[in-house]
Amino acid sequence: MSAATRRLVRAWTTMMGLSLALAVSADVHAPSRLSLGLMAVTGVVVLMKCRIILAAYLELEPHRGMSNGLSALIGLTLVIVVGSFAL
Amino acid sequence: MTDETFGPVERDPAEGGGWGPLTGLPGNPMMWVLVVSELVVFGMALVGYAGARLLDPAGFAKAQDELSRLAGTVNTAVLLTSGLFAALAVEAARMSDLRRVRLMLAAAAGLGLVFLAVKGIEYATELAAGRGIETPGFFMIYFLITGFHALHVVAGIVVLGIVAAWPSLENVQTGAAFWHMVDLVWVVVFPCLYLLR
Repeated sequence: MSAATRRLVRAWTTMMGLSLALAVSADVHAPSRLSLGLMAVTGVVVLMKCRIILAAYLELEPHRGMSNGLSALIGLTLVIVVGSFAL
Repeated sequence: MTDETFGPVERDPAEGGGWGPLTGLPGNPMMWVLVVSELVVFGMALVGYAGARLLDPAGFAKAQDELSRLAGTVNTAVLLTSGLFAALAVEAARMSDLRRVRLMLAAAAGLGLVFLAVKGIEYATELAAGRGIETPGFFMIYFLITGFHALHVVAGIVVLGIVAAWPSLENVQTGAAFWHMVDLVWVVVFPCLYLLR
């Protein structure tokens, strides 16, 4: 297995773990509503997964400007969605 | 296995100079214009969803409880794995391994079909319960956003098929970029619609 392949598999494993953690966390609280703090944590985890996709899958690690720009776009969307629960 | 269809990925600076910040990104720069545009469109849709939820938070929360979080989680795993295969196709293209490129692209597209099948089961369940795109409130937005995303999955499968037929490194990178955009959108849409409540 090449170093590049190992890196991709590591990224995939991390994202699968984070996805499972999110799903379990949400299901544990069902049917009650999530607290605002847990929603914020969910938003951060989602952004982490997006950063991994941008860096590893889309190969944007050497292209910081594009990677940060897209992360900011996604982050802003998540802040608005999560923030709407505080209103 | 090698093939002469694999060309160099480096773009001539003189040729690519007009693309500004898109110069040097993997694949065709036009795909990156599309990737950014699509992320903006889905971002706006989710902002609209957040606004609509404020008008009826209790109704939206009740409707969200009708969704299958298990199906959404399975589909997240399916798309993330599919994205891994698309990324491995790019690696295989770098190695000029045509057989492996096509195998990885087929695996990615196959998992795209699995995603659509799971989504289809979800839709069938909702429709059988009398909840459709014409249902005011949460379900109208749910069907619009996830339906639009599913159309992108269909388009992505077609793109991967085209790329498999003409598998130059740039083509594979371009097709994979579209597929990862579809993946990226779902990673954001799923928690917003299914988990945050």
